[in-house]
Amino acid sequence: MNRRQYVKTWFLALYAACGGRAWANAVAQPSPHGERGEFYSLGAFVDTLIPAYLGPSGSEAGVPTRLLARAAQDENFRHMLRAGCDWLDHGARRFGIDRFAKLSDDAQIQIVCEAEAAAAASLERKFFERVRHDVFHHYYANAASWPYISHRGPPQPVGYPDYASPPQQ
Amino acid sequence: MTAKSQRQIDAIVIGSGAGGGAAAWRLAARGVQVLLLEEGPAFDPAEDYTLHRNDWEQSHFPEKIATRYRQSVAPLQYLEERWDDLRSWNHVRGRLVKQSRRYFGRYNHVVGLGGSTLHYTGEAHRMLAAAMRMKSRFDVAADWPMNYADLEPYYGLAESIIGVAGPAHDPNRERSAAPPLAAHGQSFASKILGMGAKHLGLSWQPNHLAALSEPFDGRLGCNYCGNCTRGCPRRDKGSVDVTYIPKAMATGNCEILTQTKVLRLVAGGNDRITAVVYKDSAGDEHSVSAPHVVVACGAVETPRLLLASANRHAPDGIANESGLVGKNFMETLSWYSAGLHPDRLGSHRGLPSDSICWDFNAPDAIANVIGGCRFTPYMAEADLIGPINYAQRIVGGWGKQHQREMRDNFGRVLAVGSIGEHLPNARSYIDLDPKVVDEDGVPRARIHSYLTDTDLGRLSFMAKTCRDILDAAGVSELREEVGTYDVFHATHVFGTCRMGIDQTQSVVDADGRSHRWGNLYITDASTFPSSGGGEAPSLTIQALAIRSIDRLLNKRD
Repeated sequence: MNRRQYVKTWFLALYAACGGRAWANAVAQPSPHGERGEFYSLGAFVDTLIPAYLGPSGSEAGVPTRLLARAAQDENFRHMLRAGCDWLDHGARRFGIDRFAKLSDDAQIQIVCEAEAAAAASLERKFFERVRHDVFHHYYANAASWPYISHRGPPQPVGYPDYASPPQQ
Repeated sequence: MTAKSQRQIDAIVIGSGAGGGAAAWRLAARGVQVLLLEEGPAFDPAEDYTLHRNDWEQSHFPEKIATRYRQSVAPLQYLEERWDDLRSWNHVRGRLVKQSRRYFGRYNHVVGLGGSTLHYTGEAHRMLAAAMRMKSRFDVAADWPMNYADLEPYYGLAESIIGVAGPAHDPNRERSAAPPLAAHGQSFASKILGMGAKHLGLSWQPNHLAALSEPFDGRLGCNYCGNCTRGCPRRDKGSVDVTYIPKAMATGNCEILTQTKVLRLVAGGNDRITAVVYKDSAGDEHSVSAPHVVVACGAVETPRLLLASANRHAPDGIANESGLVGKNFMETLSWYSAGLHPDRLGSHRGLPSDSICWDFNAPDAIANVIGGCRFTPYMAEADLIGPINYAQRIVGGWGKQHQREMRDNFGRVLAVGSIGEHLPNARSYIDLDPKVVDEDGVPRARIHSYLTDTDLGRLSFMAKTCRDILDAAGVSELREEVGTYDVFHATHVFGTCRMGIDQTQSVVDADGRSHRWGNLYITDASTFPSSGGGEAPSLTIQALAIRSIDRLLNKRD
């Protein structure tokens, strides 16, 4: 088990134990929207886009929960997520694994690269771009993501009294 | 707000933006009983604005009435290969407009008490005198039926109300007095841009801004958060709701009804507006009359109201005897370029547009093109001042590489933007959509927009100069460029109820009064005969409104 899988397993256990069962259920158990584990690989995809590296991973920052919350409200978005996760899992089978989430980091990266490079009108390319856009939207609204980019936080109530000076390093 | 008991109303003002707010204040301050009708709600800066929250960047101005589809739009022009250099793009998405026609982004406005001043950046500009003589000097647009000198005292008055900070002197605009507040300091990033501009032989000076450089009139000084467009929770930005409105209310002569939508004006057989019909916040319809009616709904919604109020006395719409209501629609012509500077600048800090280059503002300043423009820092206006937009538009990528680039690049964006003159043309106008009505059965305004080769020639100059300034400032790599060639995106709109002396060529006279309807005044930018060379119109709207009211009352007295 690599570091990322260890962290994710630990986080899942902790999250479920602390009562945050909704996301754990959504990614590992039958989806409330129908098919079993339809978003099982979503968390792994998010963590490929934003791994635990200079900052927390996307999962650690709660991003999959936000995506699933939107999916619960937006039928089109949910279909897109499901189709995208299916595509990821289909890619995993080339490695003899049934789920993208169970692949090694390198294999996950390879599949995401394929999505990024796919034709503009393809499902996987649209899935990649749409989810990445939303991942950034949620990730960088989480204070845990700010230290590594030296971002102090919301503009108010302090403002930037040092606006005329070089930034502090 | 709730209505007071029935009382004598001397003037009805419709709309509470720059023009309506200023008009209501002046009327009330001079002892006139005013009823101000505003379609939108009031905003509470302390409660409604979200700049203190971790998710502050996820939304723009917190609209309470959605404006995205409030108007309809006629098909826009096809995009041509010869103007490919003016296509909008960014590092992550490539070209932003993939279709063959110009894309309708939005008519950027706010429906609420204070109007679009609620989300404006507070630029407080005076019109250049030369830009008020476009017809007689260049045979384009129309001349203003007044001189700069006629407006100058009203500019000073408006500046004192909203609290303008800026240089005491402007070589191109005479001032009888300095602004009430000293100019803001320029941000560190703006100073870097300024060095680039000066390297090219361009001027770069502090801008005039309705943002307080120190406490003033019971309001706090600015703390340079850079998010004026998301609403100012400190009330240091001089929006109408924290300036003209409280002063109007303090007179005891002004009643304000918010969430009150005017459905139509009623034209009578005596060339007077005999009633204003509105729907209140409970949805009930009312009719109110007053000796004077002032319309200030902006250059899109004012013509809509006038045209939609057609009746047997005004079969072509109120004040449309010349056929010009809705015509001569002028929009924001704009461009910005953004790129990465080699150094970390903290460029997300400081006021939007804190500096300005006026060198090309005059109508004949750009070679082979009529109509001027201006240049300012644009990081805040381009919304490149937070990590979400950096990630989505500037850095992109994913994985560890993305994180490294975010770490290395956050705060390094420099952007220069330009706003320029748009000349009226026959294909740019506002009319009533023949098929689409709103929830009250009133036809929606339909926007027709067209950019001529002259406009695009000006835009080309604007784009090139933005790029040159960035290059001279040390920007090594452009990451985003957005212009209004392929994306309609207008905040400043003008011209659709043009003022003038000739009744056949204008809708209102020099006082803003309808040529025919003696008790009808218009006090918004729809009366502008020309757009100016990029000047932000708010201060001029206010000055004109105050002047119109003084002229109205002087005649009455």
